[in-house]
Formats: sequence, structure tokens, C-alpha cells
Amino acid sequence: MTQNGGAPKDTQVGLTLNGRELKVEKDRLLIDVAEEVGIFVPRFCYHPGMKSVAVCRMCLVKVEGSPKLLPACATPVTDGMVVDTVDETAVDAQRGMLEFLLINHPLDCPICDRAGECPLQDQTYAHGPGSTRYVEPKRTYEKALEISELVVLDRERCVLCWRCVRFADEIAGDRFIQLVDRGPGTQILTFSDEPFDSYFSGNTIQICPVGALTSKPYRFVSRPWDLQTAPSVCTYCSVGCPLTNESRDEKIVRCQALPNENVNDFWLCDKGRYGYHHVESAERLGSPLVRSGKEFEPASWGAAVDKIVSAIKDKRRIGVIAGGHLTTEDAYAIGKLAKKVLETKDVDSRIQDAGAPYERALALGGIAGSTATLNDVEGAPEILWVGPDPKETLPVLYLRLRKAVNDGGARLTVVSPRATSLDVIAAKVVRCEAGGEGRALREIDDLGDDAVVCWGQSSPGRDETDAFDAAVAASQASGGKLLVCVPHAGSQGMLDMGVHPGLDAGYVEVAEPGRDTRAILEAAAAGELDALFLFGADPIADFPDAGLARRALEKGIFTVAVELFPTQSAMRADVVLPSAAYAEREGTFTNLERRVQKLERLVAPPGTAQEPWKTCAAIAGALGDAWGWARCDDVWDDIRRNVPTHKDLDLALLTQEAPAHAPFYESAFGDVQTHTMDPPALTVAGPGGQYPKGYRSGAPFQTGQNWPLSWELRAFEAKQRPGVIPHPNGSANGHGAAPAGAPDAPDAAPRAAEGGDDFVLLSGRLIYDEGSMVSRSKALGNIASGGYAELNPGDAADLEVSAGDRVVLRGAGAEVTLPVRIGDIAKGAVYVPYDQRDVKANTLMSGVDSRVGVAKA
Amino acid sequence: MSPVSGRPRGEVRIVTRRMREYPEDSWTLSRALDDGGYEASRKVVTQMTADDTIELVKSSGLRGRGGAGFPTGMKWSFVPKDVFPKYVVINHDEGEPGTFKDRELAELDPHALIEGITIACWANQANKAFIYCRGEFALGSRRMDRAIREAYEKGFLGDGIYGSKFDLDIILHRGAGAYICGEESALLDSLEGFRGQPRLRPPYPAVKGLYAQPTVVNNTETLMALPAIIDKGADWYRKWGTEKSPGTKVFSVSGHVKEPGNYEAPLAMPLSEVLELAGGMRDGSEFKAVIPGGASAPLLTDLSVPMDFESLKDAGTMLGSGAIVFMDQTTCMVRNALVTTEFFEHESCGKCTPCREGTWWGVKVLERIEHGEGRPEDMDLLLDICDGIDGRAFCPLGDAASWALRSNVKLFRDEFEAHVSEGRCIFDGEHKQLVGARARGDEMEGGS
Amino acid sequence: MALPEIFTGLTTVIKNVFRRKDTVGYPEVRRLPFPRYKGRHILDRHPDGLEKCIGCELCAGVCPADAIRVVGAENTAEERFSPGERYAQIYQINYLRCIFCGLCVEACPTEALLMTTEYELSGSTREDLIYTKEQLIVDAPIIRHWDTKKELPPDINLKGTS
Repeated sequence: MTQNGGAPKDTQVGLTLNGRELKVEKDRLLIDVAEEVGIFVPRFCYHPGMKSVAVCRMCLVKVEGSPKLLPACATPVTDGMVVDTVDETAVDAQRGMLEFLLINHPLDCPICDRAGECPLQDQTYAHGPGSTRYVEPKRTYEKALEISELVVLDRERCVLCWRCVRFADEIAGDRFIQLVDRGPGTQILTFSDEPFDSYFSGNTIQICPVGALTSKPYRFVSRPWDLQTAPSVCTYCSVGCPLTNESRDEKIVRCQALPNENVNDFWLCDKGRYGYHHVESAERLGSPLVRSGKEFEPASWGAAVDKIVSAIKDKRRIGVIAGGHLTTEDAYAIGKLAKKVLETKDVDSRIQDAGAPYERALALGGIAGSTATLNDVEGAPEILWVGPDPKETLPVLYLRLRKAVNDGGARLTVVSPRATSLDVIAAKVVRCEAGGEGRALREIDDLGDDAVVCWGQSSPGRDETDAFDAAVAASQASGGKLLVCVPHAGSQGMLDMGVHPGLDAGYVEVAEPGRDTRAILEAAAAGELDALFLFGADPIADFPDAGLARRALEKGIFTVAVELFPTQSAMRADVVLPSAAYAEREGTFTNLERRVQKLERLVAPPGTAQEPWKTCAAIAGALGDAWGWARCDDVWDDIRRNVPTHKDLDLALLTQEAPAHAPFYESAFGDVQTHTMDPPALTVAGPGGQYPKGYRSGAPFQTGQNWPLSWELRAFEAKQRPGVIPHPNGSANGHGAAPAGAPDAPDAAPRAAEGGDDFVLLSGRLIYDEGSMVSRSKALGNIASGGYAELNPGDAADLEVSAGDRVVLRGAGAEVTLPVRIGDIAKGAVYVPYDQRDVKANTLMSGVDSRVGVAKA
Repeated sequence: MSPVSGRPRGEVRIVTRRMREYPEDSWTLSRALDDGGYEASRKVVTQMTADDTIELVKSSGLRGRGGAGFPTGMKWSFVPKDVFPKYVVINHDEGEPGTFKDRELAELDPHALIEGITIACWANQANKAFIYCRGEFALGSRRMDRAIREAYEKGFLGDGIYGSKFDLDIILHRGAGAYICGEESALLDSLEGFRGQPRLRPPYPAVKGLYAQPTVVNNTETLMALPAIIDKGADWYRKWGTEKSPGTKVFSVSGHVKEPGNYEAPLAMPLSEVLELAGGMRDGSEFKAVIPGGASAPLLTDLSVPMDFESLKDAGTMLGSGAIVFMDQTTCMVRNALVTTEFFEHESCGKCTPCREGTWWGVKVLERIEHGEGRPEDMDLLLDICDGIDGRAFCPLGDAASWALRSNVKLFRDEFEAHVSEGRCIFDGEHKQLVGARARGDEMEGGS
Repeated sequence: MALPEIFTGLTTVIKNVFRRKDTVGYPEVRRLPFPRYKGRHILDRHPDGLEKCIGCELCAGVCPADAIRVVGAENTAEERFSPGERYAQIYQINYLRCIFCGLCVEACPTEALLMTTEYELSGSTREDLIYTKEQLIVDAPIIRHWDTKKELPPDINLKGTS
């Protein structure tokens, strides 16, 4: 941990830095210490998220007593050290190093995407020579190699800092990019027959200190000074990585990671980084649509709401299903609308994870969710993972698990019916039978104390209550904590705000739980409902029984859909109301560790699309219950008043502020005394708060730019609220200690009894799929893997198929032919990825714990 | 038997004794056994403690013969006693231009090397030793391979050597031809299967070396001196050389001398006497300059300097690996600087900026000067480039490149200036082919 | 009382009646601007016909009036507009905003953007005065007076513009 606030005295050392006496925690790196007090030591290879290598030799400083200049990035502070970063010899070395770096740098800044936010450019202005003495031809390579669908490599610009190589090796574990050749011919390259197909490749672009790695979708699209920027939170998975959305001409053109050591470190997955195109998609709904006959007609909001009100007035059999990508405010509004205004208990937000028994965690900490934070995971001595492959579903959590194991020395145990990407770093892998996670967990006897047990639903459509109970018990037994991996960015907010049949906002259990998603859909299919509300929910695509969802929506029940896109489900509704996307609105997401993080509005929504909470308020108003909400803050006032767990949460505190001190780039020149500047002079107002002002750019500093990462980090540490909110009633007080009574397993639907259902159907999302948002990414569309059927080698042998052959899967009356992959999967199970282009796995599912027949095609 | 034998030329043969006395079969096991081979290692393993061995080596004052001259006993004493496993790695990646001593030593007396390794392993209680052999040494590696197999058969290696409870395995690893792998931490990276590039220190190899375990890295010649020291004692070894640089050194003498070759002589022998060992300068050759310690070492023009670590350091150069290259009046010093710098440019690993870009730039400027396109400011530019590398590079390779280049420019600046003012090489003629041997541009382009 | 002032005034008037006029009868009479007068811009071409503009947006970045809009794009082997990787897909100058300071011309790294002496810029709609790339780019490389080392008549610069 880098905080030194509460460090005891004996771990501190005193040193003199540029004539200033400092007391800092020992063993910290000189480069960090200097930066913290406003002395910027130039650097290229050093990155606070990775180990030092000291190869660029840019950060050489003078340390008294050392015959040579020392690299500040690899020199820990020691007691009595006397350091001068602006000594004549150090400045000369820095200038000399830049002259060396520039002799072979092409200086094609006018066409380079990095120009304007380029550390090499900035540091050359601040520390470099004014001209070069190099007159010979420069080193040339073939320019602009596309090393993947996302990354373009220009080796001429490379200064060989190794950041990308180290990232791929140390952080992501995807060694797809390497150093080739040696001496002046050293170059960064991928292996000739393999593209740079890492799920985290975009990070290498962000940390590249020159324009050697650039983003293909962003290529020549914009200049940094054209960009409008707003901090936001990734709208995909529940890790909730903070990021910036950056737009030009009201169109998002790129996303960059915002570093937060507590959440994402410095990283984003490529899905989060390149998944923004859905915001500007031409298919977005821009106006309310009202059904007339078979067609939709655009309508005004007033007319649409009137139609809803007239259809549901005095009706009480209403079901409400909400999706996982809506904000906490939306969740509160949906809960309030359903439970207070529509007076129904049939509310649920679990679609893909239908039936996931999150409320059973109440027994552990009084919280329907995690008791662990992501930092707890990283600091844990023992980690037990039961759930889906985190690299596919929660990619940045995967990075933090890797860090916990590789750097923190955590002992990782993985329980799964099929191979996960964690297996290679795990100390122990338990390959259980499909559905046997619970038993396997109970059989684990070597789990040490203070383990963090991570649970996530491994396969949609399966009853995993047993596994969840076992995970809770394991966590209890080890005296550790539990990390509940909900699937989507907004899923936890939905649970917190009571969009759940058995819980009201603030985890208050209801005496008589209502229907869950499956029961709502079954009731709709049976015609037992008067109306159905879908908020950002597409049950036909996401619910693990596509047939049931289709029957429910085609029953002719009055249906209202609040959606971004004309999804299959929305197109079967009677009224469709357009919603604002995450970059078009203010709000908050609550991540899987229940950290509340703020989204800022950057671009305008299409047409009259608006936030779903406004839609809820409008419907409630038309039904005679005026909530008086006009702004996001009003929703929060309401939340604070009515949700005890959130009563102390201050939205203003979630807004990022500029750090008190920012380094002064020209530290190499002039008077040492001028290095600290007054904070106001360094900040400019940006959307959503104050940003450190960029050097000589005249434009707001682009947060998420690669090099002053560590200031942003500290700003976050200081200002961001931890998401763990103490429960008003203490730990588990007031909640049933025995989770047995909680509404959990959906009513057992009659299992499809078709002949030859001899395989357990396992599924789960891959990182790139046909989700309504990610499938509209122009960048990621080409690299989704497509469907396949993964079989155990023994089963494959029995079926007489081998990898690449095709098999027919039959289930729920559907039939699909898929290529076979042979994998490390439990016998008797077949894995089909969820929601892929050529196969929608949920069409093969019917009821809970579906089975399918598999035969050679 | 006196180590001083053969021609009365001032040679003192300790590590080269067997190979010089029995040139026809010095590398065979039978010869080694007849000649008292494996007695010192047997004595160490069966009669001495590890600490005694380290003490003995310490008191002998033996210093590393690979280049840095670090006291061997002291290096061993840095190794933590209670961490296992430990490794001994033999740096047999002799790549310094002008140096050819380790190659001959291992080719002609591999059993003495195995004996030295056994002593080092016993002293450090390491059960595994790795010989990192330069890839080009085909004969040497074959002979070492055979010697190791013979030693296993005799029970000098393997489980419980010499009937003791001490196990020792030697693994022979051939490098792939990179000078940088002679740098100990790069050698360890290469041995582990990574790119051969120097590691960040600390931690030092003695604490965290090969596979993150304590590791001793010693030069071949250093280890081959051990059997005699064990056999005859520290005081005997201190008869030669100086207080701080005791013992003998194998000098690889080359250049414009009558009889180039390896000559073992006491340390602190004046350069002029070393020149006499090699028969003096060739007929018609007039001494101009000498590289006293391999291509990295700055030039000397004074033949009276004693060849030991301290004296050479005082003279502004270094003993290095003991490769002495004598140059006569026909040598173009610009070309010398160019060839040397080209070598370092080619062998730079590319890890750090100053070495990678500085050597590249140096070569470019020198090529221009040599081809008559020099500018008056180029000499100062070259010195600036040297300053930009020296002390700022990641490992000694970069520093060495700058030392060699700087001494050429400083000592023979008039020659450089003559190249510039004449607009051509003032030595043009017979040695022209040395220049621009590599078609660099094509090579770089071909990378994609 | 006021007589001396009236007299002084009349003297000035009468004196100026006989001086040469500074005004011309525009538009019948047109004044020739100085050769380096900063008028409307053109985008130059290379001798091989490729555009000099690489779409780097430096002109837009430096413009104090925010009058220039450039959007870059990538050249392909099939569709090549400029040498190198990048070209300007959109290039617009808004002459309602332009203050003719010439900073854009100074910022241009390829000498693509030049100013002519044309000063007659008028239009009846906003769109008329937002000049697009098609209007700004010349058909053939232009000859600049510093290429020929002699001052050319100012309207030579307009040769080849559309």
C-alpha cells in the first residue's frame, strides 16, 4: 500500500530531496517520493503499476555518495539519503538521454496519434535539447503494422521502454508481444503467426510513452485537444472499472482507463475500452414508440405515458423485470415505481443469473452481496474461486487475482466443472462434476484462515444454490470474507435498491416474497399478468430459457419496454421508451464490492431518450404520485432519506478532484523553489470536476493519459468512498440467520423430458458476444469467437468425434449444429458459450438445470 | 616440479602447466590422472570444510580473471550459508575481442576445470554447476563434454563424489553467440532460457541468481587456478604478483607481434616484458599503441606499465580479461575505434538507451570520418557521446564501449583531425576491407 | 467666438479637396493588394499531384478563432491522397470566423496551407462562407514567389484554384 498516513515512525526514513527535508516511508521508490512532493523526474520505462526495469535511463538523479547517477525508478529511499534531481550532472544526463532517444525517433508528430499527449514530446520540451547533432539517416522499419484488430504498431517510434512487453507478461499473462533482435536493431514484435490477441491489449496503447502502439479504431480520428472528456464507469461487467469517455463532435471516439488502485489498478479490458460504439449506433431508439396493430408509431412522451397509464390503471397483476446495465438511481426508481406505485412484489433484476441466491449472503454479513472488497482479494492469503472463468466474464478481476497470486503470494484454489484461465496460477484445481461444486467445496479441507471466497454463477439456467451455500459456509469457516460476483455493472445496485422479489431497498427482507424472473415469465406465459415492464431487459436474448421468454412476450400482455435498442423483446412490447446510454447521463454504478462510482454525462442522448429514472418518475406522476425529481441529486436525496444503507453517501464526494500538488514539468530548469505551484493554477474545470492542467496544451488535461497516473491514483484514494456501508442494524442482526426461508430456487419447472438428454448443458459468457451493446462495437465485432460445443475427451471418444468435427445439440425443442472443441470439462457435460452469433445457448434451455442431447452431425 | 619451466622467458606456468608440458594429450583423463589431477578436489571434499576452503582461497588473494578482478574468496563469502539449493555457474562465454585464453584452457585441460569447479562447489556447498560455454567453442565443448562424462564414470562427479556424501552435477550449456552473455546476470538470464540481458541489481547473483537462488559466477581461468592453490597453499601462490594482485595471469597476446598466443606470467610484469614473451614486435613494426585488457580497455602508449589490476587502473585503463593487442604504426586509429565500436554496437543487447543509441551513433560518426566525410566538430561530438554512455548505461558493456572509443579519440585526436582535414583515411590501402563490413541498412530493413 | 475654429475646419477641408484620393470606386475599380497580403487560403499540392496536406490538424489547433476544422483519415494503397499514412478527409475553413492572422500557415508542417491575396469573400448564407476542401485545394501545384525569387503579380497565386 502506498498510503503513508498512518505509518509508524520506525518505518520512516529522512532524506534530503533537492534541499528539502522529507520524512517518508522506507523502501518507497525515489521517483514516487519525488513526484509526491511535486518534483517530476522524467521517465519512460517506469510505470507505477509494474515492476521497475530501469532501462530507459531517463530518471537518473544524483545521490550523494554514489559514484554514478542512479535511476530514481529503481532506487529505494534510505535514511540520510541526499538526492538532487536537478543537479547539473543529472540534468545533463536527462538531456543526453533524450538526444539519444530522438536520434532514431522519426519525429512524424504531425501524423502521429500520440502527438499532443505524448510523454516523449512533453519531456523533450521540458528536459530535452533544443536541437539534434545527429545528421545521419535514421533507422527505418515498415510503418504501421496491424498486430491485431485493435492495435497498430509503429516500430520506428518505439523507444524500447518495454512497458507493453512487461504488461503482457507481468500483468495480463498473455505473452503475445515481445522484444526481437538485439542492440540498435531491437524491436517490439508479435510472433509472426499469432496476432496480439490479448483481452487486455488496449492497455499497452495507453501506457505506451510514444506513438508506437496506437489504437486502430482511434487511428487519425482526433487530436487530444479536440476531445471532450468525462469520467465514467464501464457499463459492462460488475468490476466497474473507472474510465474516461472522450468525444469529438458529440461522438465518443475513445475510452481510456482511469487508474484506481482500489478497483482496476490502471487497466481496462478491451471490451470496456472498445465497447463504446453502441452509444452512437444508428439503431438507438430516439423517440417513444407506441404499437398500433403490427407496427410501431413514434409518439410523444406524453402520449406514450398516457397510453401506459390507461392500460395499467387499477391493474394490480404487474410484473417488473430490470436488466443489469442500469444505474443505481434507475434501480431505486424502478423499485419505488414497482413496490410503492404499482404495488407489486413481482420485481426482479436477475435475468441471465435467474435464480442466483444472492440474498442468502445476508446470513454472513447482513448484505446481499460481497463482504470482501477487491483490495481484500488482493491482500488475501487464501483465495477460493467458484464460478465462471473470470478472464471472460470479469476480466479486470482476473488481473487482480493474478496480482494477488503472483505478487501477493495468495494461495488460490479453483473449483469448477471446466477449465478456467485461473488454473495455471492456482495452487489447487478441483475439477468437480457439473453441479457438484457444492459437494466439492465441502470436501476441501485445506482452506486456511482469512480466505476470500469468490462465488459467481458459473452457468446460466442452473440452480447453484447449493454451491452458494457451500461458499458462504467455507467463508464463514475460514473466518474470511465473501466476494459475490454479480454479472453486470448495475446488478449490485439493483440488489441494493430492492429490485428483487424478496428484498426491499437496503436489504430489508419482505415477509412474503413475490415472483422472480422465471415465475414472472411463467405467469405471463400463462396469461396471469395484466402488464409487464421491461427496464433494459431482453429476456429473449438473456434469460436462460428463450422459449419461455418468447411465450411470455407473445402472450399479448400489455408490455412496456425501456430500452436502448429495438431488441427482440422490445419489439414485442406495446410501448417502447428510449433510454439514455451510460455516456449520456449522470448517475452511479455499484460494483461487485458495492463501491458506488459516478458517471458523468458527455454526449447528448439521441432524440428524446432519457434516463430510466425519469421515465419511472413520469409514469408515477401520471399515476398520481409526483416524486419531484428533476436532477440526479434529487434521486439521491430520496435515496438518502429512504435507504438506510445509503444515508451517508454523498454524491459530491464521488466526483474526482484534482490532487493538491501536481508535478511541475520543467523541474529541470530554474529555481527549485518554484516547483510547487498553487493548486488552483494547475486545475481547469472539466466536465464533472477539476482536472490537472496539461502541460502547454492549453486544453483540459486528458485524464487517463498515461503518465501522471499516480496523481490520479492518490486523488481517488483521498476522495472516493469505499463502497462498504455499515448496515444500520449491525452485522447480521435483523436478518434471518438461517437462509433456508429465503426465496431462492425458482419453482422447479417441469424438466423437458426429451429422449437422449444425456448431457448437462453448461454455458457462460465469453468476453465478446452478441450482447446488445458489445455486438455493436465496430472494433470488437470481428473477433468474437462464435459458438462451439466443448466436450470431455472421453465423451468425445464415445461420440466418435474429434476437435473440429460437428455435433448436433438438441434441447428445448431446438436443434443446433456446432463445431467440437475438446477441453478439460467434467464428463457428461457439454459447454456452449452463451449468446454467440451462431448459437444462442438459451434456446437450448428449458427449465432449470437443462440437459441436451448430443450426437455426431 | 617447478612451475617455471620450458624456455627461460619469464613465463610462470600454473594453470597452463599441464597443457604446456604435455601438449600431445593434456586433455585426456589418463594424462590428468598421471599428472596428479583430481587430487586437490579429492582433498577438499574429503578433508577440508567448506569454510576452510573459502578461507584458503581468501588468503591466497585470488582475484577473478574474467575482467572485473573481484576477489574470489570474498565473492564466495557473500553467499548465504543456509539457503539451498545454491549454484555455481562457470562463465566460459569468452567473447572479448582479443581474448582467447579460456578457449585454450578448456580445450587443452578440461579436467583441471572440472577439478576447479568441484572445489568451488564444495566451498559454496552447491550441488549443481553450470558451464555456460560460448556457442562457437566447438572443440572445447566437445572436450569438456567428454571430460565430464569421464569424471562421472570415475565417480568424481555424480552422487557422493570421492566416496563422500557430497553430490555434484555439472551441466554444460552452450550459448548462442552473444557477447553480452559474458556479463554475469545476462548469462544467468540466458541460462534460464530468457533473452540474454543484464538484470537489475540488487539483488546480486550471490543472493538471488540463477532461478532466484544464491549463485556464484566464476570465470574459467579463476577456477583452474584453484587446484594448484589447494595443492600448494596460499603463500606459495602469493610468491608471484603483488600484495593486492597475487598470482599469475594468462595473457592473450595478439596484434603486430612475432608470436601471438597465450602466455602465463606473474601479475605486475611490465608490458614491455609481456611483449618480449611474444617475441617482440614484428620486423619493421614500430610500437604505436596497445590495448592492455581486451577491446573494452582504454589504450596505452606506455610499455613500462606493470600488468596488474591496480597499476593499470592508475594508468587509466584496466587489466580486464588480459587480452593484449599490440598495434604498430600502420594501424589507423579511426578504423580501430570504428571496428571496436561496431563490435559493441553489434553486441549491445538493446536494453538501455545510452548503449543502444550511443554505440549506433558512434559508429555512424566514425564511419563518416573514416570515409572522409568528417566535420571538425565530430571529435567533440564523439567525446560527448562517450560521456552520454559512460556511467549511465545499465551494465558495463555500454561503459566499456565508451572507454575504448574515448581513449582512441583522446590519444590520437591528431589522427582523427587529419582524417577530417584530408577528407580521406590517411592510412588508406591495405586494411580498407575492415570498414563497413556489414551492410547495416539492409540488415535493419530486413527485420520486418 | 467660434470663427477661428470654423476657419481652421474649412482650411482643412479645402486643403484636402486638392489632395490625391485614398479611396477607390470599388467594385468598378479594384485595388491590387500587396504581394504578401493575407487573404483566403489555398491547399497546395506536390509536383506529383498528391496533396501536401496530411490532416495533422495543427492549423486547427493553433487557430485563435477556431475557424478551421480538420478530420484526418488513413490513406490506403487503393485510395491515396497524400504521401504517408494520413490525409485530411474533411478540411473546412469558416471565413465568418477567420481573422486572417496567418498562424495556421505558420503552423503547417508541410507548407500545404498558404494564403492568397484574394480578399473578396462574401456570401449570402453561412454555408457559403464555410469553404470546403474542394474549394480550398488547388488543381496543380502553385508557384510561390519565393520559389522564383521574384515578386509575382498577386493574382498569379490564384491560378488553378477553383
